[in-house]
Amino acid sequence: MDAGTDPSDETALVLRAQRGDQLALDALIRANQGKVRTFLAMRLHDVSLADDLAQDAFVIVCDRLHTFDPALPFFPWVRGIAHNVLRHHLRRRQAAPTGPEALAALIDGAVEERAERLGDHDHVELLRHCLGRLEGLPASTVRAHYFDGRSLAEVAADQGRSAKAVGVMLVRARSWLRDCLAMRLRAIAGGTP
Amino acid sequence: MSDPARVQRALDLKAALDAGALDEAGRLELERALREDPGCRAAVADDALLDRLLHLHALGADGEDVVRGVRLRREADADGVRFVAAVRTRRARRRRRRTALVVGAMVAMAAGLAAAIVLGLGRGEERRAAAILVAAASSSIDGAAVTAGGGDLAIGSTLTTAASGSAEVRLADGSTITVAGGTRLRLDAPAPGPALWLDHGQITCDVRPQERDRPFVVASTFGRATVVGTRFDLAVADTMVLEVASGVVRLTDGAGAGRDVAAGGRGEVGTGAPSPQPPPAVPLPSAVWTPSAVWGEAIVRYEFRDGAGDRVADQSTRGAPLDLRVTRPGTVRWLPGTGLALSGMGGLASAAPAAKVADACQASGEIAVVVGITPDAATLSGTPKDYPKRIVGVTAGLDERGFVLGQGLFNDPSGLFDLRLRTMASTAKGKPSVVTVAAHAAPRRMTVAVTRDRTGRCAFLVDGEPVAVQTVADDTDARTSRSPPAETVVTAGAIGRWGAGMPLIVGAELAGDASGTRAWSGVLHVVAVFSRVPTAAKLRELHRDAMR
Repeated sequence: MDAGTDPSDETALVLRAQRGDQLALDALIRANQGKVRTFLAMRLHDVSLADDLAQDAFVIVCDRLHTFDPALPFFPWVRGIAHNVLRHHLRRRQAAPTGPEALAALIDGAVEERAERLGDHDHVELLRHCLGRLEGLPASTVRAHYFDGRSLAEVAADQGRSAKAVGVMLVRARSWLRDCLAMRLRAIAGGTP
Repeated sequence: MSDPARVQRALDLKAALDAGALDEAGRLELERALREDPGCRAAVADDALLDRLLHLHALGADGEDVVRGVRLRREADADGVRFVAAVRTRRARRRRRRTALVVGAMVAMAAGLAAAIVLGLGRGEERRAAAILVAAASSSIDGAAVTAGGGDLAIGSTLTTAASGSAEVRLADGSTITVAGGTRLRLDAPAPGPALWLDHGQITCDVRPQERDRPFVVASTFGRATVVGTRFDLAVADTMVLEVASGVVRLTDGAGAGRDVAAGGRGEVGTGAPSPQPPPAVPLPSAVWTPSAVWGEAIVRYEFRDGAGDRVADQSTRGAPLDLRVTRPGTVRWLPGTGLALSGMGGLASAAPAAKVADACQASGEIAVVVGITPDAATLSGTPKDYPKRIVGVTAGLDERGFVLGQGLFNDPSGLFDLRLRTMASTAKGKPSVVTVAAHAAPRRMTVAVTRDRTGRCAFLVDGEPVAVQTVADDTDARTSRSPPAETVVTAGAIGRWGAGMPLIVGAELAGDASGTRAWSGVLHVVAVFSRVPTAAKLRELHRDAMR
């Protein structure tokens, strides 16, 4: 659970939502959507599907809320449902990977392992803070590629560099952001890595 | 312990992979490192994780998008069950507590002799357009007094109730609309679900569950309410006020800003300046045409209002003009002051390749297409292979294209709009498609805009209003390959890989197959393609301009 979320508040929200309080249900979704979207995005090759699958998961959460024991922590239950939705999605597109797809599958497998170690947080929210501290050419390169939607080739043309050099720059920027994120996570965990 | 040099080498290979510059030897080397070296595996995985988080962050969706999406989906799913008792429940409740709203100068509802009108609104065999008046008094249809013996209420008719009268309209699907005294209500053509134009007065609606892509719409000068099965009251006088008894209704103002009003909630639009005109039921001829300056941003633009002959000039000021010529002169007809009517196999095409469109869109990574059209009934008929019918595109025949905006799908000739755009991740045909969830079968004048920005986010606007969209991966298998409806969808890949030499086509493919040229049928008023997505305000301005 993220810092600042009071378990007793969450239990009260669950009880109200189970009695049919729509506002309480909305509040529960709002409080957990960031972690669910992050959980899904970290395990999806096509990140744009994360929002659709999150919506699928929450529809199931709403439908089955009456079966949930309010004495238990809420997010692990939601996470389990999201995991099932994800598994169902991945099964539908499963194929024996070869060539470049085999490499993509290898990376996906490695990402899955690492994502488990990162725990359940709204990492995007934490990342927002780190992005604000990224400066210089790495910052402008990240902005151009991710937020302005420029391809590596376009960024390379803008910067007068090769696409591969821009790729290396982005790897370094992501490495810095990963370290920043790790520091934030350690701070949340009270110094525990 | 992993060798730092090997980890760095793996990250360099990952950078090359991201840049599309990883050769076969590099791929095998990276695969081996990932399999054999845990340090390499962790470093590459961390890099990929951050890549995904950054992409998610850039998508920009927030918690409210998820909350709203879940709410709407659950409401749409649940209303069918709830409705079974809805009419009885509502009547009982009405005796206990009348929840109708009264706002501004709205005329109070008066008791009067009710007129019950049974009509069918819809399309296809199961919903024939028919209207039967079974009782009436103090009401008129198109100015003619309604007799107590009953009568018809046809599509396009206007029902007016006297100050002391009232009426009840019952749709074929069981939905009811209680019309208060002093109300003027027009029944528009299904678009594609039941559509009402509330000129003034008050109505109370009990809406049966609608098919998700055929929502029930009530519009007024001040905005519109869109619903998929719910119960609500609506009043129009100096403003438009919505009060929802059950379900969720989307209330959109004249500027296109929308919000969801949930059960027990109340919304009001039109507190600012109202929209100048209601949408016309039939196309209005334009006397004077003064194009908006926003059209000047188009990479190609064609006006069809005052044309003649077999050529249409590109009025864009960007690059060399890309003029169109009629491909089959006998199948087009100029309607002075209105547009160009297409029928049969005919269309238009540029003699020169549409290189300036391809180059501009691929360079900017964006595209927007805006068309002012009046589809006719023929567009909604044909065999599955006739769809999607082409409105405008840059194509090299049926199997390869840069983009095409069409109407209908192979297995869905309902009139939905369809964008197929070639990207680095799409097929040569531009699949997956992005389609409007609702069909637009009404043979009325409309503006359709579709946009895709550099992040891959796609949106459709009909008459300047955002409409729900979804992706369709395979239009021969719509049941399983459609994404959930949403205001926008993101498709993968940068715009690219458009073949060289493709012409711009309007209304039909230049070259078809045995089943034809996928010819679209109707009237063209204006067609424009932009290589930058105009702002929402500009798109609304283009809509207003195109409808003049």
